[in-house]
Amino acid sequence: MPEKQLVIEVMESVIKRIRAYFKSEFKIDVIENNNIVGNVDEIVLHDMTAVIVMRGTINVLVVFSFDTSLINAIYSLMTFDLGIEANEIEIYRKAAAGDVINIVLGHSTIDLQRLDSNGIKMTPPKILNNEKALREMKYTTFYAQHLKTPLGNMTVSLVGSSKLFSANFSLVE
Amino acid sequence: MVKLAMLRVLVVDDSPIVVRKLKSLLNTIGYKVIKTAENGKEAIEAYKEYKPDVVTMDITMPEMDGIEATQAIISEFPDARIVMVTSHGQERMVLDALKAGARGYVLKPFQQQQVYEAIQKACKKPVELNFC
Repeated sequence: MPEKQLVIEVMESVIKRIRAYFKSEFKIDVIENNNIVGNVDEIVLHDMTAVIVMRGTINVLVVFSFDTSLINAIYSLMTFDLGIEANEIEIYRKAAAGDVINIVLGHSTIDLQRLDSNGIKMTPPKILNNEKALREMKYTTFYAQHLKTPLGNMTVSLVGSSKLFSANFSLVE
Repeated sequence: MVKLAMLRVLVVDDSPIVVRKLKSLLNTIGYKVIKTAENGKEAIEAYKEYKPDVVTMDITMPEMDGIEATQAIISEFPDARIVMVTSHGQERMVLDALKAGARGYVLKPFQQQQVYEAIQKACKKPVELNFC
């Protein structure tokens, strides 16, 4: 499969799974906003960012970056009945971001498994708090989809080698 | 009248939210979480020490993943009852988990009934303990 098509399929699956998960678990509607392709140093990170590497035929870094208001709302909905103490809130806010990306990508592997007969591997989520850029990632390109919700915005980015994304890659074609 | 002993559960997951949710859910069902572990290596050590009746096992974890940990536990304790509780939905992962010796598979986000049924089903296989 051409690299461009692979990237489009991964993004379509991830967005579909975010929409379904947010609706069923949190009653949050997700609206797709604009998408963008660029060099990784141009990537915009919000307050809380969760990162997972998908490995196999699909070899891409997936980045979910959340507005403060959105991750706070998700954290509250996930933990309202767990009796979280004040000194634990930050740990559990990060865990909420990690759980969202883990569940969404885990479900996306159902859509994407036909692309990789050996199975799609995922790393545990890494959480970046208030980071402004993805560091130590030279020669990489990203394709991002901005998403709007009534509780705040988030951005999904797929980051890979420049080879993965052709120079003329554009979703508007 | 047979008095059923409380099922003793080891919960293995690197997410503190999932661990808290599972603890709460399992307590509600009437099971007792005797230990939690954050990765596969900790799970193996905890299994050896506590010999739980059932293990709920995540797949993607740091240090050692849940499939590797399941293989290791089953190789030493063939009657171990392990139920995977994971976000991985791809068939290959389900097959790998079952091949490793898992007796059940629950997809996150889980509902109480799904976890209960998976554990009940895992306990139906003949085992030395008659807690289930």
